[in-house]
Amino acid sequence: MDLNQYFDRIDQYETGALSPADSAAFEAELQANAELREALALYRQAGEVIEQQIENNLRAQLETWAAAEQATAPPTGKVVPMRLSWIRWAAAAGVALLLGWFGFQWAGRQYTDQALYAGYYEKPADSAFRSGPAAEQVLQPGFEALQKGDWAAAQAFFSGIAAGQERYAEAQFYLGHAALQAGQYDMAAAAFERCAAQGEPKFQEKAEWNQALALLAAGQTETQAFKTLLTRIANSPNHSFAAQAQALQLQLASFWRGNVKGKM
Amino acid sequence: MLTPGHISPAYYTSMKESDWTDEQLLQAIVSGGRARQDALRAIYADQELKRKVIQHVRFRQGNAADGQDMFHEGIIVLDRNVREGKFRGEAPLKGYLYSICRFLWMNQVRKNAHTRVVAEPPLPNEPDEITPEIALISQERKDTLHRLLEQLGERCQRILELWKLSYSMEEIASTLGFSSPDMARKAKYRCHLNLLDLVRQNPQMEQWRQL
Repeated sequence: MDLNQYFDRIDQYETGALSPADSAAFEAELQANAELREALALYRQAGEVIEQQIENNLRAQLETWAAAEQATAPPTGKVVPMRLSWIRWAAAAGVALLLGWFGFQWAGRQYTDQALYAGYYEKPADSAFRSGPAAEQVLQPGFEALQKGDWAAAQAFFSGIAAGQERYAEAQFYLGHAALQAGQYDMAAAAFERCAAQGEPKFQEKAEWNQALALLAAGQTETQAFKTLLTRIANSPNHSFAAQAQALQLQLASFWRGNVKGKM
Repeated sequence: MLTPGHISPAYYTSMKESDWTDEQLLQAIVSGGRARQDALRAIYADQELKRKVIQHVRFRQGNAADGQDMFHEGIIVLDRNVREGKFRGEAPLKGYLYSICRFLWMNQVRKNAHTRVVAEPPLPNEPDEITPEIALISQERKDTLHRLLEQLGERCQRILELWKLSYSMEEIASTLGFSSPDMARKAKYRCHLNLLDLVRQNPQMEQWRQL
């Protein structure tokens, strides 16, 4: 069966683009033409595959919102009423002080640069590394090194893709990830910045957000570069990472953050 | 009737989460693109509804994390049902979402218990009660769909996703870096045919087609 032959009409029928008369004619033909029925069934199954993709992405988006919400929620604790004798009160007070001290330390540790970075950073999903046709396999050696956790090899490979070469922006993007994983945060920030500067829609917003995270991990939260970048992302309602950037801003301004600032 | 592209996406983006009416939420989801994203975000931000779902799950053998999962899955079903015209605002949207979440959890509990299907006792009548239409997909079928997506490749996945979400060819071209809407249209055509071929060649899908 040649799907080309039926595709346009099925596409129009399924998207409601046919006139009522053409729709009726199409349905009449369906009764008589087994191939057309088969092609329509294929089209509908393909629709199911696309819905799966939409579902996957929406689920990931909901999880991102949940993580951002979680990140902005203040640390909570329970108050348990007790009736105790003075000795018990003293013991309880001692324990409470000790717990409070540890709690204070613990809460503070949740707001260090490294803890915040770890809370937001997401390494690229394995599915990002699956290449299709031969033309798309230019970066495959770098992807394989990343998947094996060989950060040095991945950095060496992606660094070898020169500016102006095909897929340079993508190479810088993954160079940034390889450097982040290796703990070379300054190098990562620079790579993400170069990627974002290419203005490729697929990578630009991700690169900007990862650049901000790399600067955070590098302890550069007081620098103008970090502040300007984070503010720009947070204040761009259409930016894919605006919600996360806003959540991060709140955390950076948190009381708990102030508590640990001197210890970082 | 709900049709795509009725109101400018910028209008939705400027709205506060509490400002939305049911009609606006439905219209924005059908419109797709950024408007859909904003509407889903506004639905997600309803803390009272989320608490209600979590409470329902916790009272029925689940915990708070299960409740949160059900809330997410409920929004996924709601999104699809609205886009496919299975829900057009016949009942209050939040009541509908709550019904979906309850149904999904009931199904999950049954699966966990490996028991026969027993109907959940009806809850007190609420004015927003509605029976949601939910297509439950088996794990086997989901795995097959995932494999097909992987075979399709990331770029085609994205093109077809945006097309299905009612993005215009101009928007697809600018989002994915095509030089013109016409190039985006051609790419969509190629990807769609490629997917049809993959589906045709997949023995599992063929088996389901014959059912």
